Amino acid sequence: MARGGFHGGGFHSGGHHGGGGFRSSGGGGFRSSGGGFRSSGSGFHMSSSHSSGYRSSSHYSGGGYGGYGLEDEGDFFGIFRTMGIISVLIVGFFTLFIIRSVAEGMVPGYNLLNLGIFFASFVILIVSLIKYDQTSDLETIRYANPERFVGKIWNLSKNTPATRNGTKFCWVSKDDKQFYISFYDREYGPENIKKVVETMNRTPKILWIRQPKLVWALIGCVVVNFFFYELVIPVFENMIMTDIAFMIIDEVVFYFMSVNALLIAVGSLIITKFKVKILYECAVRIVADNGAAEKRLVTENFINSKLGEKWYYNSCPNCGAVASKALKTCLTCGSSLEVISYEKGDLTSVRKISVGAEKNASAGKNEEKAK
Amino acid sequence: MKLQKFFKYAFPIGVAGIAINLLLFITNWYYELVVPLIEDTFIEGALFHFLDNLIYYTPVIFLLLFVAYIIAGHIYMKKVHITKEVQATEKLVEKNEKIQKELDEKAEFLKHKYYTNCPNCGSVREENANVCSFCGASLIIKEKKKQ
Repeated sequence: MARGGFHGGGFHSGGHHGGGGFRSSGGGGFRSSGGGFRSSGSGFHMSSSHSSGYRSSSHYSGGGYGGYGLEDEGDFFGIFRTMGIISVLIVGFFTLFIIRSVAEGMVPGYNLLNLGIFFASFVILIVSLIKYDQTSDLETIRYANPERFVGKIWNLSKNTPATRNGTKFCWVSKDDKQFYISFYDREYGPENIKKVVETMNRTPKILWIRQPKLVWALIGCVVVNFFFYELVIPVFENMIMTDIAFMIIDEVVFYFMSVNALLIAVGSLIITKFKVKILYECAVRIVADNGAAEKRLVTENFINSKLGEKWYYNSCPNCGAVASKALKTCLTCGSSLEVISYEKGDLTSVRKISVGAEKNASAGKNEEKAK
Repeated sequence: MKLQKFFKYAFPIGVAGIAINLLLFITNWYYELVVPLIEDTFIEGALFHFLDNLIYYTPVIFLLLFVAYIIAGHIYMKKVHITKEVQATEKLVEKNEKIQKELDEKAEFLKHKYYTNCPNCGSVREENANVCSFCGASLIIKEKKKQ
């Protein structure tokens, strides 16, 4: 096989590639720089059925609908209506004109298939960007990272969730992936920002790109596609390869930009999906954390209220004499038994004086005085 | 997470690898370059046939390996990210629970009043003790219910 197989004989040495074959079969079309196999007649470009089809339908732009709407009731909105119809007609005319031009092979780098792919890419990208404004504040908190920012991110479908966890500033639905995280919350706003930024730093960076910029990438693909094929294919034309190989490369080069655009659009759709999923998980975490903080706050308030009451040592800090019941001063040395700093005292070595005990103590003192 | 570095850029590297190998296979460049090396030797017969095929299909083998690399990388990195998120959640929950537990203990202590001496045996109460260390009786002063 080696001496007579792929290497020695066959396509390479004297096949279609060198002289004739696909590439020199002539004809018109833009892809026939040097006679591309694409322009061999029955493709999209030169198809007579196509051209006649579009030509026959070209009377739409001629004036079939020309005067429609002008003889309206003459009210104010009638003008706008007429303008709208004219705009639609103009856009329709240009659309048909472009499609016909592409079908006839008059637009370099385009045929109906890759035009369709580009159109589908734009549609998919727009679908992926429909809910973009709901998470657009992520850019501000990621790139500017403000401490206090009046913004929010959310994912809300038409039906508001009936059951949800959290507060009105930050909540998550139980059933579907709906959530709401506010950054303007006075208490937890900065914390929410911090947690969302942490999540963004932990997950792949590509998920947090500015998706509207992908529209420019797509437009770039459309523009580059005009001359991409004509620029790149000559490189492969001068190479030695089989005709099948060249045919594959020819297809790859021709559809490269459109497939690229499709990948960008589909990528954007996937990014949106994953972003929502990750942010939902983040929201669940934030809600749980804020709930724990609320609970902690209640406990801290209780502790502070308890600690706000005065405490007294069980043993005199001065002489060590045992001081029980409602005594505020040491009976032996007369020093104060009051705990000045809670941090310094051990909880087991101190006591509170209950209201009842204090009353009894004061009653006892009064009795002693009376005696 | 030992393989994280290996799989971190699996997608771009994989795509580049696939493109290069596809080009090498389609254009036959690799074969043209390598096969003369064995043509000049005395290898013949079945072994030559095998090597010839191997060289011809090497770009395809590498292409498939790169495809596997992308898929494995995707699965592994997804697992890594899920693990990271779960760990972050667990860490946060653990931290909250720890703080809450300390506060609850403090609050629980402050809720009650304690005897300084055991009401049962009279021994002195030890530090932070809820029960007597000698007889085991509770040192909490139970408040009488208001009638």
